[in-house]
Amino acid sequence: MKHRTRTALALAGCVAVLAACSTEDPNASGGGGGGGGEGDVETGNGVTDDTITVGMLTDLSGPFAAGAAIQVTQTQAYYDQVNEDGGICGRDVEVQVQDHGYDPQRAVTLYRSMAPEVVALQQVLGGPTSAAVLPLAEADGLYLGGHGWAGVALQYENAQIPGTTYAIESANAIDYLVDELGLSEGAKVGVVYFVGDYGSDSLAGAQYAAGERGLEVVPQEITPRDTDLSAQASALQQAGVSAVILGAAPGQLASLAGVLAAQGLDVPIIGNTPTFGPSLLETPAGPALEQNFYTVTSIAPYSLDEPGVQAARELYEAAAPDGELGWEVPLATAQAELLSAALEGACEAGDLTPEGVVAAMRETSDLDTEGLYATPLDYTEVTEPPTRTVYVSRASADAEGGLEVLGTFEGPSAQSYTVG
Amino acid sequence: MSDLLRRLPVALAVLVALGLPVVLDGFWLQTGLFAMAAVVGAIGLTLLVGIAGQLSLGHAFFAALGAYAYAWSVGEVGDRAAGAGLPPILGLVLAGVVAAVAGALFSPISGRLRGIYLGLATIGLVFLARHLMVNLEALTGGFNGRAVEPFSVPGFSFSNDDPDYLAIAGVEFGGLHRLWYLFLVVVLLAAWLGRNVKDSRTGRALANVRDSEAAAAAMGIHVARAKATAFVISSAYAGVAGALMALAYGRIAPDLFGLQLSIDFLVMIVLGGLGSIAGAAAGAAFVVMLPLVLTQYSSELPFLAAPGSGGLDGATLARLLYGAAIIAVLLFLRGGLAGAAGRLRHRRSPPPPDTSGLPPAPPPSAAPASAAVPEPSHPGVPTRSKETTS
Repeated sequence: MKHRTRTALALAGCVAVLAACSTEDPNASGGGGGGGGEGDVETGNGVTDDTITVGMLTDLSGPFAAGAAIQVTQTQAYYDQVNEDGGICGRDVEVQVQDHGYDPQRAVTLYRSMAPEVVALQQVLGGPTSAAVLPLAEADGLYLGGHGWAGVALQYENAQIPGTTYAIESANAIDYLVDELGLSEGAKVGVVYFVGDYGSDSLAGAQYAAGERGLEVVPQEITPRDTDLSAQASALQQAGVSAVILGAAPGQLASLAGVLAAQGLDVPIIGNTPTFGPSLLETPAGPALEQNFYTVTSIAPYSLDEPGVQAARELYEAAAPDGELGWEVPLATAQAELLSAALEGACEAGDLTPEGVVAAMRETSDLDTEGLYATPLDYTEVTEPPTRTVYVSRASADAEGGLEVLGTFEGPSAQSYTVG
Repeated sequence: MSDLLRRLPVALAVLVALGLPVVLDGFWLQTGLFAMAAVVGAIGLTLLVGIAGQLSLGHAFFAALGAYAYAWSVGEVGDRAAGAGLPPILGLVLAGVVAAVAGALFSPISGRLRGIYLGLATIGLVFLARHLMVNLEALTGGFNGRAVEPFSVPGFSFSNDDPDYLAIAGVEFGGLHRLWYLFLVVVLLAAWLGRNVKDSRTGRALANVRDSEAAAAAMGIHVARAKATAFVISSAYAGVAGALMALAYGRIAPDLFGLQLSIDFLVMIVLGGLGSIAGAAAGAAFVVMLPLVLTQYSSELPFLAAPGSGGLDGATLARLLYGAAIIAVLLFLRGGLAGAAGRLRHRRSPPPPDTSGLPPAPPPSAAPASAAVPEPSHPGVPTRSKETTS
């Protein structure tokens, strides 16, 4: 008897589940017919009649907390101003910020909770974290920006790289060494780089360009945990390098510049964008940096005298009067401008859905950022970097943000480097 | 009747777990997937550390092996990273088998070391794993990792496609919902197998070896083989857990399988109560979900600062709570969550239930934390002091 009841119950359960089951998509024919906003603009996730929500997955409690906080402040300030000026597509832009603490597991879960609520991701900071989120965002057709400059991101249609790649930065660095700093053929160039998508990309560009220009690369692999580069500096001195390219973080730059100066090796050091931080100039390595440090960046340094950068500066100084200054300020502005342009484009095309934003971003062919980038940007080719021109600057305690701009540069090997 | 009563909570829990995907959103589903993957690994580790008394910090190594074994065997032939194009179900089995074989290969070492020395030796495995993962680029995709093909059986994929649209009770069942059931099945299987191992001849032999190798040998237990068995079983669990993690992420990279993961596993089983299957599950759920949930809902908790504003934010609070929970369990909850639950049950029903049921608390001879550092030759030494210092 008992058994019969159980069987009956189990059967009833199965039938109920099966009856509730369906493989017919009720929305399939409508093409996502929801929304119905004013002005015939189709809307989807993250867009209501009066707000557009964009997300930031950033690192506010991990290793990049300081720079990330600047970017959050500046992004918020940017959209506050946009909203004051009437918003985008007649709607206010709201920024949703979550902190993944540089932990991929947290990034993935936070992405899952954020994805249905936003129309685009303004930023996913960090190499391992953005690598974990990028494929998910691609599957969801969600715009993703602010993920750094690693060349691997160029395979994703939904990712908007904020400038050129590390490889092209380093190729430009080699060209600059030859054309402007007078390195002769056969000279050796040390490349000290983080293992991983950032440093390895930088090395690839340097190696390509060195091959083109007849230089020899002396690679030195390090990890983010190595903060004392004495061994690497000695190795570079023994190899007799005439210049060093650094694809690492500010801590490594301080150590390398300090040790090289102490060893009496007076050679130029050229760093990728994330290598420099203005507070380095107050460390004992400051004088050595002022003498020898250059950086190649696709984003304009803080002190550049161009209207776009000036506006970014004013906005930031009003929002955070005591804030740290750095290249993060123009970068956050530029990233917000890139996304705003995509949102505007999607609005004009009448398709303010996540897919519409990605499509609009890929239509962007001639975006002028008034100096935030050295050239107009072109995002129409997925696998092509939007620009190959960089700003070259050198460390200077007198300049705001610690960098004095020398000019823009695009070398022959940076032009011919093929990504991927 | 008492049998039915005893099983009722488990049955209810399974029923609730079956129904949850209908009401949960993406965040909770993803959190649940990570938690279930960790549960499988924690059960394996509690068999090794709690039952067999072998301290291992190498669980991340075996999890990594399982994850990459799955990714490789299921990966498409001729893709960026090498793949064998096998059916996913085979890949899942292979993940366990590969890790188990690695555990067996390591057992000559693990059989000769004990306590903290074994712990240190297994740490070596984690660094070996990292080196291999970064450098065997053809297999692992190097530092950037590789994509993981979704799980599928013929005609049904545990992803967003095939069938493209599936709804139960009006809720669209995407990849996360479908994976939930796969993970649930694996977790139940792992718990059931774990309980059987624990209560079987093998489990008793392992516990005997933990308590006194000499006594175990005198009773005719092959000590070296028993230790190897424990390592192999635990590694297989870790391998499957790694494969589940790979499925939950959809992409794996060396950074996921660092020493921190090993330590997390250890914390899970200590919190839950060494040697307890249910405890390991509860500990795993706590350790995985706490930071995720706190960061997600930090904006809704009034005493937490907004991320980045410099105050106490969700991520920091999660770390503090995590540490506080470990200290509290070590100080006040002997036997972890499982021990506490057992004592609670005892208090409610004064006449102790039949002995065939759940062991209400870990066996009295096994003071939980000291089990990790078995010193069988000093039976008379009070274990309490050792516990607080270890």
